[in-house]
Amino acid sequence: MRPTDPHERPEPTALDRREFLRLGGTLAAASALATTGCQPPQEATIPFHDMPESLADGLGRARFYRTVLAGSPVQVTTREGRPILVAPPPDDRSGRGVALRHQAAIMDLYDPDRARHPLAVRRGQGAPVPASWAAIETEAIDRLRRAGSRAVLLTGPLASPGLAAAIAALGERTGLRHVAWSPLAADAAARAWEHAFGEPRPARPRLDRAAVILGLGAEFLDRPEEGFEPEFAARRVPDAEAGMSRFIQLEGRLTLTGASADERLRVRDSELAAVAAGLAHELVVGRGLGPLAGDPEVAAALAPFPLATVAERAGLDAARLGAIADELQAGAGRALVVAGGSASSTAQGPALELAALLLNETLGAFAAGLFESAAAPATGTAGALAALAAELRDGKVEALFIAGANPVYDAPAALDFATALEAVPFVLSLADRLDETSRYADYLAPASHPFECWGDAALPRGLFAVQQPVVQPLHDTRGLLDLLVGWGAALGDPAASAAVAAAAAALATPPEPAAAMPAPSPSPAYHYLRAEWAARLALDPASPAFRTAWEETLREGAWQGPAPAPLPGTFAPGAAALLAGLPPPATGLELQLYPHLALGDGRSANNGWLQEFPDPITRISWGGALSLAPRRFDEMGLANGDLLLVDAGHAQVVAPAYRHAGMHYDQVALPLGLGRTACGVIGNGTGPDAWPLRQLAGDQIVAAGLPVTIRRAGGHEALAFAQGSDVIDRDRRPIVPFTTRSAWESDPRAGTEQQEGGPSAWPAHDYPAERWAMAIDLSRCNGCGKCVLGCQAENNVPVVGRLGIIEGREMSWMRIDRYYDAPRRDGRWGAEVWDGPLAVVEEPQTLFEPMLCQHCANAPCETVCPFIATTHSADGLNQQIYNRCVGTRYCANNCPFKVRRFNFWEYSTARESALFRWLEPRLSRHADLNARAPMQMKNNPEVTVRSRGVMEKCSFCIQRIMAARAAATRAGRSGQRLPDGAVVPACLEACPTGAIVFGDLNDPGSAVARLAAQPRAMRLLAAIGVEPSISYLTKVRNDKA
Amino acid sequence: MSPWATVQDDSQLTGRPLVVPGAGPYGGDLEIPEPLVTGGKKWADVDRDICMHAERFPTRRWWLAFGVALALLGVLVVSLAVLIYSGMGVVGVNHPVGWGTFIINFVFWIGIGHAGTLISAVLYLFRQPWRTGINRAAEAMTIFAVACAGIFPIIHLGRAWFAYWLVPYPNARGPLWVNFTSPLAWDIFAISTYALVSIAFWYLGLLPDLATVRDRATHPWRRRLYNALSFGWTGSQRMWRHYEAAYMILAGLATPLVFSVHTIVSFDFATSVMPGWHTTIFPPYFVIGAIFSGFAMVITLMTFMRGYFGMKNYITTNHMEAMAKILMFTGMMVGFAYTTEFFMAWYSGSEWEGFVFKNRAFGPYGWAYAIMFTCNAIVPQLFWWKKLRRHTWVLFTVSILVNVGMWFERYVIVVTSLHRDYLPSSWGMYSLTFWDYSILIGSFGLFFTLFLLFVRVLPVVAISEVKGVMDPRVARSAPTDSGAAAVTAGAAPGA
Repeated sequence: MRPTDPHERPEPTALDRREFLRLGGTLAAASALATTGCQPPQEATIPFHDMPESLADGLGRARFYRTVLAGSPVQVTTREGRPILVAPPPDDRSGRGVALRHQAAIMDLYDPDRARHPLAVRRGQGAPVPASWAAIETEAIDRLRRAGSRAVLLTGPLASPGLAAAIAALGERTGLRHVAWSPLAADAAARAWEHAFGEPRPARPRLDRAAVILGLGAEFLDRPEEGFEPEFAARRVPDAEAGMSRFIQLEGRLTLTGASADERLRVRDSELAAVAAGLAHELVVGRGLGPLAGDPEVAAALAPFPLATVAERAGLDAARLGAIADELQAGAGRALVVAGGSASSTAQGPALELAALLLNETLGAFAAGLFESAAAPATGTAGALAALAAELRDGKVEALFIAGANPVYDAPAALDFATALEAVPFVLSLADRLDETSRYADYLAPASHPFECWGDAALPRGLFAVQQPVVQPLHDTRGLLDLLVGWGAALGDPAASAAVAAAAAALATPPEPAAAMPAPSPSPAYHYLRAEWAARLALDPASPAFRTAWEETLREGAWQGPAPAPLPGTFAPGAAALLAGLPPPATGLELQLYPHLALGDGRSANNGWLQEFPDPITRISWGGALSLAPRRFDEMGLANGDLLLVDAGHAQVVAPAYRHAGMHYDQVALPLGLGRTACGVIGNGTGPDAWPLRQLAGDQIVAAGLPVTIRRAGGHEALAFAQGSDVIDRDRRPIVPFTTRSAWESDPRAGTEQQEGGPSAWPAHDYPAERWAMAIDLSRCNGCGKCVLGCQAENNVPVVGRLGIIEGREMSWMRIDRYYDAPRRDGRWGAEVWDGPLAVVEEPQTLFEPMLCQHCANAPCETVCPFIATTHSADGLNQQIYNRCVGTRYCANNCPFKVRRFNFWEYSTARESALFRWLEPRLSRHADLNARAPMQMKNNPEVTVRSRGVMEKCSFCIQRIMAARAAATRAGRSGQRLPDGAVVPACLEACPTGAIVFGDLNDPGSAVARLAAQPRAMRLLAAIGVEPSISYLTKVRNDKA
Repeated sequence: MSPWATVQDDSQLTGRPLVVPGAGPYGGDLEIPEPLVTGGKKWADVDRDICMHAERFPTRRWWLAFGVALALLGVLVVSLAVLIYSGMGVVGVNHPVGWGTFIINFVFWIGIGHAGTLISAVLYLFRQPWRTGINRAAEAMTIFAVACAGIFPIIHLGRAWFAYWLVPYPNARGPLWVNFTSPLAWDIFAISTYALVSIAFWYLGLLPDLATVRDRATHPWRRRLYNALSFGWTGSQRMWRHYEAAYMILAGLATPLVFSVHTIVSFDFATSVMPGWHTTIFPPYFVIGAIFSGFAMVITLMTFMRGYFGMKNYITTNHMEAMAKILMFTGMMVGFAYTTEFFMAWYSGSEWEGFVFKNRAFGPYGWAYAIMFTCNAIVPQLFWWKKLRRHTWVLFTVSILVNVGMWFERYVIVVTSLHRDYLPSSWGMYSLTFWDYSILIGSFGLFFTLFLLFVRVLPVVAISEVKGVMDPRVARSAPTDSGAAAVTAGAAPGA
């Protein structure tokens, strides 16, 4: 402060600039020191898929980390230290896939209902009170020491070798026993493999190598984490290099997998094993095919299943089954049979799996290399859990540690886990929230999210991946491995002690500011893992070679270990005896319980993205319904949402009814993973809780083929449908290009016929540089919806809640339209307004069509906006200017694709005054769904968070286009066209099948230009001349046997 | 003496002229129409009868009506507060039906606003003397209806507080200009022009009458107020000459507006690509529908004025019958438009178009279509019978039904076209919420509040014009009552 007026004297008390800076600097340093003392110590990880190895320029740039989440490799994008997006890692070769749950893990991380510090739950006696980690650890170690083998650790499925080692070490020290429990584990396949090949290690079918795929209730597309989607999609295009595959599916419920079938037969779950045996009988006994032909044991086992008998008992046309057998026979060596899914959880599940193995053996699938060996899946069995429950009840367990399992919610009701827990003197729950099971514990030790702690995973193809933290723990939480290593050290385990000592040493070393190398980590799990990995890589942990290898692994996401042991030996004919126990055909109704496509077993039920994700088949979000065959539904005079009582004898559940196309008449189905009562404000009480309907039969859980009766329970519960009509009459509305392979072969344009429009009155746009465009290959798309979630995460799309969906206020920029194709009719004007006559929905042909802003060249939205809030860019984008939008909604009305989304509410902020909360309770709900701290951290800083009253829609991820352009400019290529593939929109990034292609239409060499020029390409609604930028490529059904 | 001197009362009117055989100018029959003002009124009576309502303390009935209207206006204010604080989510609009009751109400009120200008301008140019009894009130109705209508385009915005961005004026926001290809921008011009011209026309017509009120005023402040309002009208010959010329010019200006406003409102729909909206018939169809609904509203209001304000001698059954005839005629035209739409949907061969119309009539909103068709195209057919045309209650009921029907016409147009358009996946339904209803009802509160204030402070019948159509042979004599006011400066010209 320098006086400019010589007569003015400086204030005597004022600091001069230097003094101020000196003081300020000291203060800042002091406060920084003080606050670091309170925070968890800084730790650095090696991130950077494609980033410089320096942490200095963290702001304003995205960082990409490869890590592993629930056994699947993922790539996490972080901004300013906040994870904001989970996507499949590029060039992943792990044999695992990214499921919706993985994509939505961001919301789990920022879930406001997570436990934020240790709690003394006191078994639900009174409200939980805060506890300290020290108290919990002291007691846990003490209990471990005293209980010996009477201590049990109950975990979820463990894919982590590091964790397994730590548990084993602890077990060696104290006698701690480990029980794994995964409610959805399907062990029928393992049983069949054990019978047939002597080893319970199912191999992985290679769908990209098969020309004919027979699915027996297969659900490989319903379980994306298993990673089958890309391999399946590779041969779904008619011009695939290896030839188009043909997929025949036999199933009782129309699944996402069945929706992609070329031919689909309805067979109830309990009859699938018999039908499979019938096909085997036909091929092995009837036609003497394969190495098992003539084997007396096999022949004897198959004797009760001649094709005609089987067809009769399953209510099928014998000729149709025979045709399938013909196809299999013709395709021997290229044909693959896949069983599994929910259908394998019937009592006849092992028999079904075995019949599939028998068919594969007969068709030479093993010999032809249509299977690849895989590491044994990490699952827990129901038998182990049942034994544990019995022990608990008998007082044989003194201390129970529960980590990542929620048996009170999802264990078979017969085990009555809640009561069993009461008999245990000490229960410690390591969970991320006070869930159903934790309520019965003494303590809740809050678990870190996998994004916050170290771990590792073994992947099916022999890859090992490191789970590296991508963010510091948001709350006072710890990872399971950290906890176990700490306990191991306290109990004298040398490896654990070394890790803890190294962590302590790292803590003592102050991190060097701006060091090129990351500071040593204070996490014991990190040091423990490194030691484990050093042993795995056979390197000295201190050597530079190991350091390089470790960093390489973190960068690349995984390390290729030894390939899994080759396929187990030869098929043991005696295994066919498993088929002998097949019961006579059931009469009456049977129930299938299937995992909710988004929620899985329901552990992420407090996740708004997952709850709001519409099931690709039923299109229901926020809950689930009892699926009934359309004919039965009509006979009962039901309406969607009428409440039904499902009575399985041992349990009853009330659920709303849903008219499920393609359902077998004698089968009903209900999703699992709903009806949580203690997951948090978002998911509590959403949908019916179907777990109690599962039955424990011996050591096997039966979740399908359950005999049930249904009756009206009275009442109605509106279902949150994210779609209007189900049925599309393509002869009137040719908006989904679809044809058969034979038609395509005679005319590659088949299926794209539509009325052409007249000349345009508008001058054409000039696209001097790029013209961004998209092509979506409907033949590749299986409707999984991961693009929808990818878009939601990337573009800060809010969650609107159940009521929002019912009211039609969905905000999703992208949606997967699911249609059932109506047979062509003659004449015009004739059709009534219908939502699906029986003829269409009993044997539906499902069509998926991802729908997003078409970025029309003649966009109807642009001309009608009085505020010029939506405009056409020079590179072909239909842009929405939020600040300019005042919300007339005219653009949305005039959008023929109805892809524009209006912010009817202020979703992004918690606007609650007492008066208006009373007047408008939805405001509170929106705050719960979107705006409670720390949820705002999920937002992508590159994308505006929209306020109420403005319109929004797909932007073709303009922020990524801009980022690519900026990168090109930095690289000195400004003014040049961006190379093909430089811009990857979020939907494309999330798509596992490569159905979406994005690029520059003006570049004749780009992939999108080539696809758009294909005869299969169709741009929708040519008749009204909007000229979309998105080309849809015909979905081709392979009708050629 | 006039042959009609004996007609003492509105109820004695027959609606038929007196035929004097052979008395015509060329030897044919002479038809002498019935008088437009009954009751043997003198000019002085007219002043008293019409100004009376503005000069005395309001009746209990007026207070009651005003209380109700004011309460409804309160409902509107509260509803708008809730709407603007909470967000558009409180009303029923959704995806895919992005426009709902706000646009329906907007078109509805704008439509109502058409009759006033039609009566005052078009009928004036066509020299229809019977318009004098009703034009003042009809014009007032127009202005108030436009005021009601004007609310809706603003509140239907997601961010109503930026509505002024729609006005193209040089500004510091970029400058942010409006999109002249958008019909919503055209609306701004069309409606503001219409409102301004309507107000000017109405006010011009009021000038001599305001002077009459001034001259009758006893309180000095009242005198000064009305003098100021009348711009110091003196009633000189020169003034009358200018007045008449200005009135004629404004009538000429207003006439195209009758057709342009609703034409442009119809462009909101017609220029879109939505099947069911994108039709060339919309401009005439909207205009005729607007006249139809406007006349229905005039009938409703005039029924009240006849009944409650003792205006039967000025707004006679013959007036009502004339309006009934217009109602029936426009009703038939509206019905013709409905049918034409169907024909075109079929004849165009467009699947989308065909579906939308089939869905309109027989889809989930078929009930609304049925209400619309019945009320608008069928019910007015009652007026083929003269007896029904002259029957107060029939007229009143039909006028209400027509307005209901016309509201539903807009409902059908807005909702059914949007709820099932091109992609069946995004089909949806639309339903009204509490706030939709409250804002609709509240807008009637605004309308009636304004109208009730109007009848209290301004002459509800155009005094000077009525005087001009009275038979001077009857009207020239002294007032019928003792203590009547003198013939004032506002007296009919050329009397």
